[in-house]
Amino acid sequence: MSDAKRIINFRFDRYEETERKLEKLAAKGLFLKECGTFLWTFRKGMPKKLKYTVTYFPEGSVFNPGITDNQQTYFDYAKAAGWNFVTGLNQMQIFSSEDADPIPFETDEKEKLDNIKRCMKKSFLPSMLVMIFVFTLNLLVQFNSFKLSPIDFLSDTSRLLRVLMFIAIILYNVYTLIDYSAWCRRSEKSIAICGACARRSNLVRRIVDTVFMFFILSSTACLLFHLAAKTSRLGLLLTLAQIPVLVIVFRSSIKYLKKKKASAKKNKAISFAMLIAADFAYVALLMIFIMQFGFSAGDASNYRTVDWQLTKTESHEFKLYSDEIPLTCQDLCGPIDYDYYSYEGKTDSTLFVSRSSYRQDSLPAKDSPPEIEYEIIEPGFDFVYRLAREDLLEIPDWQDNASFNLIDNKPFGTVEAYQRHYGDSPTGYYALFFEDKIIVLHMEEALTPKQIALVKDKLQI
Amino acid sequence: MWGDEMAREKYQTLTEQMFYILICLTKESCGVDIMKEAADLTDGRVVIGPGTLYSLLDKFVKEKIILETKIENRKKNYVITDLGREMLDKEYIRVAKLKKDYENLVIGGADQ
Repeated sequence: MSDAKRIINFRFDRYEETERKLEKLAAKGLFLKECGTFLWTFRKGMPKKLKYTVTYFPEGSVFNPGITDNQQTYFDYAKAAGWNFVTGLNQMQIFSSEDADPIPFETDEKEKLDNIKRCMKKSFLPSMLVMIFVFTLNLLVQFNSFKLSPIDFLSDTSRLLRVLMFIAIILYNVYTLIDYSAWCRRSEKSIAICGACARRSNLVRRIVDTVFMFFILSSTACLLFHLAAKTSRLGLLLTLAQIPVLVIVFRSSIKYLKKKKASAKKNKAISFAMLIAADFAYVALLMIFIMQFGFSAGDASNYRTVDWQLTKTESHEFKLYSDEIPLTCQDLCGPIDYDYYSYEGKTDSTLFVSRSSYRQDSLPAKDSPPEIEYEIIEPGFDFVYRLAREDLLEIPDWQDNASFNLIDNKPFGTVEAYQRHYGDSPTGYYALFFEDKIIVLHMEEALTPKQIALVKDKLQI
Repeated sequence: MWGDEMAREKYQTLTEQMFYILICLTKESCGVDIMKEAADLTDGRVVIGPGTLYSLLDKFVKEKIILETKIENRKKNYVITDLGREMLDKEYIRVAKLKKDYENLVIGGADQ
């Protein structure tokens, strides 16, 4: 008969719940064959009344080349008590018995708790701590990038979603650790008065699990939706395939080394090294792909490519975009006889800020026509406005000759306006602050009063 | 020596299961035999589950309360050590004192 798969959300302290579930499934003719991280495999057969017990064996590991001597001894004791080994995953071992009233697997609750604690110290706790460490590190990297450029960060939906997901994962893991230590304390108290290990308060945990899973799944869906709109299909597929490919490499390495009877230590070291190497290789491949084909969604109608001669011997392929932009060099300077302008415009909107960036670029040449670049930032909150202002008016240390000089508010109708100067010379770089938005203009030269009027008109200031 | 002190400190009293495991190991035995013997000796009153048996034997070996002697047909055999014997004797004295106190204070008291 064929096998069936079921999702079992197992955790170390859910052994009783899992035992009941397995017994119910056996009564329906589904017998546990193999357990995975989420998907468990069941053999179909005639319904039978079976008792299951879920226990922990400290030496158990997915890296073990086979059943260890101590594990065999453990199985022998179980067999003598009427329990047959079914399957295991890491330290978790599952036994079944056809006896209606078999000898309980654990007959001393203190030993049972000590054993669970010993096993958790070996695998569950380190993996939780590593997860918290890795995601905190990721969060710090994100925070650093926020500090470097707050508006880039706050206007990027995918980065904000990732940060939210990292925070949720850290909080969930911290909660799991607190929950585990609370369970240990409750169990110790119960055992001290001759009781059993504490039972789970299922409701709270279930609510937390459900909220967390819902949040992670919906955030992932949002992230994918967002990426799908911005990246090419192949690029998206390559990004999505990363985790499954790495899992396959890791599992195949473990399986292969097990077959070769490598020791658990050797298997663990080699498989983790393989995982890290595969991750680097995959990221390198992804980078090559991005460099070769680009990563953004290819909309052929939106750009044309030009093979441009940079020097006598060197040429480069340029993409010339033809987005609609509200203000062009032609608006400011009159008609320009040039066929190689690229017009780009994009808007990123989040809860915090909406940022529209526009640019009109010419191709590199000695006598290339003027270029223009500008941004319209609309902060959703006061603190975002303040952050944007601070960021825009900051001059890097290496530009020691540059400064922002306050200019008259009247020409642009601003509440605060600055023009960048190099030494004593004014430039075409303006930071214009209005009540509810900020406009940054980056022209090649300072604007004339006539051009200012045109800018105001085109950008609807 | 430190390990011995720790074991003495830790096992101020023995649970019934610990007590019967040590009694069984006054002669060399394997785990499966201990399970059967403990149940037989107590008419099924003291049952040692396989998980508990494994944990206790493992702990007792680490704390030098018992000693692994040989592996025969994949079965590990154990025997009690002097430290284990000392702990068993202490437990016997403790339980005997309980019995004496009960006889003196409860049964004797009722006679008066």
